[in-house]
Parts: sequence; C-alpha cells; structure tokens
Amino acid sequence: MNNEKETINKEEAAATLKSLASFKRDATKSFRMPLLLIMLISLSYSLIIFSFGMSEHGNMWGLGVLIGGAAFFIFIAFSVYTFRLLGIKVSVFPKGKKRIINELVLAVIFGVILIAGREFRVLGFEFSPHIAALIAGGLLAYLLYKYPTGEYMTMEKKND
Amino acid sequence: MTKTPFNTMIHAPNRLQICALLESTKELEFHIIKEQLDVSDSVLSKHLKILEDADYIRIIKKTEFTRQRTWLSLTSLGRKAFKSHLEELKRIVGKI
Repeated sequence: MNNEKETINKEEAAATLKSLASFKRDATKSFRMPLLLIMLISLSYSLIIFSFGMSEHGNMWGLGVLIGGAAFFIFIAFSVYTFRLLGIKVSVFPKGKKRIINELVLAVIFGVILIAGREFRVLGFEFSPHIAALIAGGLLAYLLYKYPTGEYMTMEKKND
Repeated sequence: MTKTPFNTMIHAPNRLQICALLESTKELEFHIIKEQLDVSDSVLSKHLKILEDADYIRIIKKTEFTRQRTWLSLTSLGRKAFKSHLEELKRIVGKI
C-alpha cells in the first residue's frame, strides 16, 4: 500500500519540504512561552550564574544560588503545567541522536559559562560573574524564544 | 522488490503536518492539531485513524479535570517513518 506511487519529482519534493518547514515555523510560534515567563526563567537562571560566580566562604551568595534555583524550577514547572492545561505536553528528554547531542553541547556551553564566571573572578576579573550571568541569561532567553520545542538544529532555515 | 522509503501514507499533506507537529512534542491534544491544521473534527479523525492503524501514532483518551481529553503522540515506528520520509524527500531534492 505504501508503494502505490513510489516517488515524486524534485519540484514536488521541494515544495513539500518548503511547505512543511513553513507550517512548522508557524506552529512553533504557538508553542512559545509568554515573553514574561521567558524573562523570569532567564533572570532566575542569571541569578544562579551570578550568585555562583560571586560566592565564597563566608558570604551570602550561596543563598542567591538557592533562591535562583528555586525560582528557576518553579517557573519551569509553571510553564510545563500551563502548557499541559493548554493541550501540549513538552518533551523533557530529547528524542533522537541529533537532538541529544545538541542538548549535550548546550549543557556543556552553559556549564562552561557557569564555571568561567567564577574562575575568572578568582583570577581577578571582578565583572566576570556579571558578564557570565548576562551571556547565560541572554542565551537562554534566545533559545526559549526562538526554539520553544528545542528544534534549533533540525529545522531548516532555507528551503531553496 | 526492495522497500522504498517514500511513504505515501505519511506523504498526504495533512498527515505529514500531523507527524511534524507530534515530532516536536511528547503529546498534543486533539484540538491543538485541529487548530494548527485548520480542518474539521471528522477530517482530522479520519487522518488520525489511518495513522493509528499503521501504528504511527498513539491515541489516548483520558478524563482530566472533569474533561475528556484526547492525547496524541508519535510512536517510535511513526518517528522513524516520518524521519525516513523526510530524508527521502531531501534525497529527491538533492540535498543529501
């Protein structure tokens, strides 16, 4: 039954891919979180990065990590719950080798930012936690806005 | 006769879009897919039945918060079939 019409021509295939990509782009927009929630999640994540960079023995910045972490997870849980009420269950764990690799790369990038923020401060660059927090928060906001379903590598940008 | 990766069942425009939507998420509710495809309940149900019979999607009906909800997800077979079909389309276009 799958072999009724075994293939299509190049133009039809290109048109199909283009139409599908356009459809997915439009659909992805409706899966996007509200801007306010994106900002709150990114700010709480920035607080984690900043607090970690500033923390030392005897100062209170460890509390900032805890507060940032709690806020981050609360906002994420809220967004997951809201999406569920709307009829969308998001994938917590990526499916497919490509997606897993992409997520691991991102995890490494964020990990490097987290550690670099603190290590550079120890070396004497006072503003490294500030810069690290800005980069991490900005990057997270960008990813949440632009790629709400996580398909940043698999979606085609140009279809011609 | 070798099996062609071109999947006529998935290739139908609405079914292709259904698979594309489900590929992005864990599960989607019926009304979300209906809104995105802009089709009637009966048209969507027909396409979903075809995909379900092919074991490409899973349809689960649950009562949540006193409301009947129909959740749809791609099976692993469905994911593979969709991915293979996309790769075949790209191969035809000459991208791979």
